[in-house]
Amino acid sequence: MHFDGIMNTMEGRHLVFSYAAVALIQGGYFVWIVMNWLKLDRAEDAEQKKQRS
Amino acid sequence: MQSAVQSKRSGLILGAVWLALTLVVLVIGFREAIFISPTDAQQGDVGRIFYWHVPSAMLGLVFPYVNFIASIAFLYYSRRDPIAALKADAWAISAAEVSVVFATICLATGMLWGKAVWGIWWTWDWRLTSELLLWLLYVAYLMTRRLSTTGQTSTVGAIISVFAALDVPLVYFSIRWFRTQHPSPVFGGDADSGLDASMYPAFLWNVLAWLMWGVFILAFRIALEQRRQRQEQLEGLRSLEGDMPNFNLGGEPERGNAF
Repeated sequence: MHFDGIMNTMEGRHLVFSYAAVALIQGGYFVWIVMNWLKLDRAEDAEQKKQRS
Repeated sequence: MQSAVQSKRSGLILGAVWLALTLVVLVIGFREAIFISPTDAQQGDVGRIFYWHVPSAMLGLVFPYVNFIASIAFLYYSRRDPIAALKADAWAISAAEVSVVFATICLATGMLWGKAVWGIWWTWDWRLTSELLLWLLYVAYLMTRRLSTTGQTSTVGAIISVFAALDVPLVYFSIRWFRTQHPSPVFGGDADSGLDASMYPAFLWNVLAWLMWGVFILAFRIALEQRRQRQEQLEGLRSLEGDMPNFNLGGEPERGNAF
């Protein structure tokens, strides 16, 4: 596959957009899960501090 | 408490190892699809969308059944075993989200391919319409779960998911029963169906890669949901503790406790 001028044709652009869309959607969902995981970590830490005090 | 911490740690290690393996397989799949697989004689390079579109479409029809089985389990256990019902509910909502993610990718990549090859973004073809219906049903399921405040949200969601699962066979068989715009089945179709041998490595590596990713993201989401459920229950107990001064959560009974 040649990458020279890939964005000059609709076929090339749509191939790039497709792979970018997949990475963005899957990556975005993964990041959302990680953010919520860390949010729960913070809530649990705060709960433990509260119990200790 | 100690075993819970150890269990969480071993789960994180297993998840990290699985994620690392998945990323390696994804890179191999990407390399096969973009650099190794030959250019399609009729479609040109845009045909390479196939390698990510088809695995996403396949998994977008598998995860709805995880949601369906978990929803049936939830309905069964909801009056028998609350702990098992909560677990089934965590599986159900996680599988619904993962289904929406894969169905969204299937629709988006299909439209990008359609515009380049057919010259149109969309047509009300049986396959496209039934896939859109599937996506809408799972979005409706998630919206119901998010916005409903009846206290019976999980039960309502489980019933919606049973109806949503009925659309899955329609999506799968639509290109076998009706010949419209969408390409005919690549596997199990007529005598001309099938892939060229040179395309198999790229296709199979990408199916494996996205299957591994799907399993990872589903397991991660289930773990998050189960933590969220525990947190919610703890908050409920804390507020109960606040309302009832003699109620002591998890500690020694207070002296003179009426209970």
